[in-house]
Amino acid sequence: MGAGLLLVFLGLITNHEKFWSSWLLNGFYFTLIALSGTVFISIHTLANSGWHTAISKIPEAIIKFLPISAVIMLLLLLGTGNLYHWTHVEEGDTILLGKTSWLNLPFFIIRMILYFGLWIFFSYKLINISLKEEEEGGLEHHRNRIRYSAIFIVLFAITSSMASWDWIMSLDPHWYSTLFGWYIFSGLLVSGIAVITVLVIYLFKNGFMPWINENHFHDLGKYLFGFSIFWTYLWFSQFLLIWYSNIPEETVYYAPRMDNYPVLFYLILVLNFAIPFLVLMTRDAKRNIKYLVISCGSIIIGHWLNLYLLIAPSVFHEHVTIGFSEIGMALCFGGLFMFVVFRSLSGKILLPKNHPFLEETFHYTS
Amino acid sequence: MTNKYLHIVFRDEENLFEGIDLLRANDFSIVDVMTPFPVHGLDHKIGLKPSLIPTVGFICGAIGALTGFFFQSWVFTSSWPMNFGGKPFFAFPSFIPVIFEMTVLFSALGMVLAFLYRSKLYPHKECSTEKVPITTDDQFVIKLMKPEGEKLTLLQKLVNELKVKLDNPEIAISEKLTFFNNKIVALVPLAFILCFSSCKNNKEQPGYEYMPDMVYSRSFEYYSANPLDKSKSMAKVPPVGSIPRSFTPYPYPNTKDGYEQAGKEWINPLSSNDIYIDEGKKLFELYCVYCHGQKGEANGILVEKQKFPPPPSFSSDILKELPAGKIFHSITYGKNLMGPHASMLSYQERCKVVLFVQSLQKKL
Repeated sequence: MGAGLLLVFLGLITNHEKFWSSWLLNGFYFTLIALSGTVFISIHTLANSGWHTAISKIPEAIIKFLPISAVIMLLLLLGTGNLYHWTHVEEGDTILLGKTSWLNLPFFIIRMILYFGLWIFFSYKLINISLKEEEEGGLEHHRNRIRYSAIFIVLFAITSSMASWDWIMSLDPHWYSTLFGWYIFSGLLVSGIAVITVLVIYLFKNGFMPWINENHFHDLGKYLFGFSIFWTYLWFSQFLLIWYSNIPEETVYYAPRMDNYPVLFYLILVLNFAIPFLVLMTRDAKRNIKYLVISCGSIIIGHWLNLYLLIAPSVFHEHVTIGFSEIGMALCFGGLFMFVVFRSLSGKILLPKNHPFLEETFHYTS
Repeated sequence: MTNKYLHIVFRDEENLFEGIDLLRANDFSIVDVMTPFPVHGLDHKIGLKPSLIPTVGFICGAIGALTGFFFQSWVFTSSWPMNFGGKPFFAFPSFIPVIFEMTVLFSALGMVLAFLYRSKLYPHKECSTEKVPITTDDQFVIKLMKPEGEKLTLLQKLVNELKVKLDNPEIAISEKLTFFNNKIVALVPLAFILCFSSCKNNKEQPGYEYMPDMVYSRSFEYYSANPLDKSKSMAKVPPVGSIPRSFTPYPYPNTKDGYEQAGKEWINPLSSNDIYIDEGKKLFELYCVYCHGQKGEANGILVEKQKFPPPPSFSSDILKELPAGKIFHSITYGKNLMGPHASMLSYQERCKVVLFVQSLQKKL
């Protein structure tokens, strides 16, 4: 983390655009992962799931990073001029002038605060509910959790796709894709679950979660398998339509990505689709920690690279290699993330004590 | 039914598991367990090996994917290469949806067939295992080989102990199981009578509509009778001489006289210049080269593969001096085996193709 910090400052001095693009890359990446904790909890609450209670303390710990990533993303506002072309629209650019009612700096800031406000509010609400439930018990807290989860899911569906337009898609303000929000969302889900799985495996290996068995791993494996295919499906749906219709105003998005980053472009498909797909295909592989770790690592790296490929070609017009700035910042934020997560996990029993479905998770077979 | 087997009937799956454990511990051979719904962990409990169906599914899926890939590659690059919107013949991204569908299809059919083969089933075959209808209702049945002598008494003792232990008097050993509840069977004819009583012979009365919602439109149907003028339909004939927007009329009919007349009278509204000829060339390469060939020498890919008989070459005696009007007429209505192209190329585009074809005629 310290080394990362040093590299970050080095980056800030040398190259502004590179610094801010990697700031956005890593800030957004860890925002997605932190947010996936809330999504994980609310989805399982609404589905009346019981098995996830064995690991539900881990997404709750991940959420704790959300306020920090909010600060990181708000600091990004200092660098909008370097990143977002729409902050300085040229005369005669009718497309961008037509979009100014949405893409203007004050409204951009308001939206960013709004998104983070909503996400942090609901995330902490869910954490507080589970803390209170642990102290007091009773079903009322779970009912509350269901209520807040339901509202959150609806708001999340809207805000997550709007946030991905704002922060990532507007890097290419002339281009748009109606699938973009879902594409980012699928990446959020699969990389978040990969991080949760890695944390569960780490804690399990070190004996902090003796109640976990291979049935729980099987479910996490199914998630990884299913959602990595889902991500590929959305990736391909977006790509195929643009490739097939071959209209210049749409292909302008893929052309620099395929021409300037030929290796990376196909590498993300290998890392995010081929490896998890082939490794996790059989039932036994989904129940095996070794295979899970391989595919989680592949997905975590793969989605970071995917995000790099969404951001870098839009900011720079020629090929730019991944440098100290990106990796240093990833190390720095990653270290911070680990610090926050493990600090909130340490010294506690990692079970939601009075959760009404807790008993179910011990008798779970899948 | 022979008395080879015995059945033990349970009321819920928790008791069933206890029973299975007890029987396996005492070395009774369980033939089958029948349940009203899939019970998690049951196959593991009675010591079944993992099914081979997933492997079959994987192999069939892989065969399907390869079939989809190679078949499309063969069709689009070798057998019948066609241009779709200027894409390369080997357009891999567009193969993917079909490959995916083939994978799913082969995998699903393969698994069904493997399942039928393994269970020795085919349509209309009687199920070889015994039918125990109560297991489709609410009861769980263990079927086991009927033990002999001492073991039989042991079994009865065990079941009695289980009854007491689980406090469940409904657990029972049975040689033959009752099939249908008689009261329910009596209801079956009643249901038939109810069903048939709803049939009517009167075809004028269509019966009752349940939630017609948006079946009846408020607007007039296109070909319905006109309420203002009963003799006519709602659809109106356009005024004489009207044409669709941005449509250029072509006065010569699709007859031999029309062909000759067009050759004499038709004048290309576009004057020949390099831009039009170049655009005409692009259109020619999209629609015509597959038969006519790059230079109009009748050596297109479909002709060379003998999918189509060769059209006359542009350098042949008939076509060398062909006037613009006849070329335009042929493109519009088609000629011999060539189909009409008016629906694919607009009037302007056809004019450009004519210019390009004429440039080929001059070159040769």
